[in-house]
Amino acid sequence: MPTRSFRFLGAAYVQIFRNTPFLVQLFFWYFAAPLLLPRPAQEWLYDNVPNYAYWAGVAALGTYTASRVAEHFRSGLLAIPRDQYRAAYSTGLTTLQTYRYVIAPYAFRIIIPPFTTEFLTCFKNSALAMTIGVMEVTHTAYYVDSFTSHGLETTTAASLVYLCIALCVAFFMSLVEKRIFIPGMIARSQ
Amino acid sequence: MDMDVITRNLHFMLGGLVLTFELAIITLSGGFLVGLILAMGRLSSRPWLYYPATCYVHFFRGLPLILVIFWLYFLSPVLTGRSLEAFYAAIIAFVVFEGAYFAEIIRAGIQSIPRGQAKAAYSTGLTPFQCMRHVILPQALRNMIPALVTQAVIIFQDTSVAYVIGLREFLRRVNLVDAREARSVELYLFAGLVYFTFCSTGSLLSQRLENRRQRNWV
Repeated sequence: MPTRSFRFLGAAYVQIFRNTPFLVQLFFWYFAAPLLLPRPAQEWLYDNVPNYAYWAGVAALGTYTASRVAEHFRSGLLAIPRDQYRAAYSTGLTTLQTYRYVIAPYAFRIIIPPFTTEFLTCFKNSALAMTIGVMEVTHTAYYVDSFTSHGLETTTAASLVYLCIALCVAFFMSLVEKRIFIPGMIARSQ
Repeated sequence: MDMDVITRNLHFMLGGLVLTFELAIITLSGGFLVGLILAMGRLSSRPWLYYPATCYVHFFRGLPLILVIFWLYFLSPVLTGRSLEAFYAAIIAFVVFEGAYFAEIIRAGIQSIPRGQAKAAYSTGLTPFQCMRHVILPQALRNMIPALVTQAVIIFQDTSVAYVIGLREFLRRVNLVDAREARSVELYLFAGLVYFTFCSTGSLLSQRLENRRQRNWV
């Protein structure tokens, strides 16, 4: 396995997506990406995908969140003591088995708290999709204001939606954390 | 690829970069001050300080930045009777929003200082304010410099959201040039490259500082 080139590709992906604003990426997917396709593909896209803005938003949010999640996975894997790998290999497990049965069950549980935050960040970032015309919560609030002039009320309603989601997810994830808590590990402070 | 479109409009687009930097620097200093006050509240044992600060932080960390900007946009006519200029609306929204994030960074930094430091400071007769000002904060700030640099990079990226209220910062200007020239691929790649240059410099700096801090720890 060409480890070095994999490492370089992964690092480059993460650096590029983390160090450019999400809005620029969104605009790239919406305005620029279709132009990079060959002509017939472009025509097919314009004819058959009526809600392209939505899919551009999905692509942008997905690739952006992937770069951030990658960092959480990396730090989770790095948090596992090297001895765990050595012990697994010494019992004759293959690399795949080591990760599947020894490392992953640990690492995935360690990264649940940052993962929860990341999930909520992803939710909040989705609001930016309004700039390319996706009718999500924030855009709907703005849209309703445009023909009722009750901006304060609609913005309040939108805020409540986000806060409710944040609270519900945080509550649910605290239950999950308690359920899959690793015995012997120092519990997350706060 | 038509690079000519970038050189032709370079002056116009880089003019927006000045505004982007202006927004980022004002937000950075304002947000830090708000964050410092909030962090003190979050660490206070007085309930009338602790609960408002905690609610503030959780409230703004739960909202998208774009919504905070809209809030201000709609709220300011109700409060002051006239609408706010876009630049000030953006600044206030950014400071209010980023303050909540700064508060958590500063709080974590202060909590990383061993309790003995505060006890020693009190035993020499310093007041709580003096203790914070001369003993705890200087050490805590040094510890949180990497996190603050990372936050500065995030703020620099977040300024692009001012796009929605029509502020002519860098991204808005790129967008305007694109509307006239219809060269999306070149222009947005260029915008990405410009942001990437500044942000990756900041990220590298933060990484360096963090490594050095951990080396000096023991």
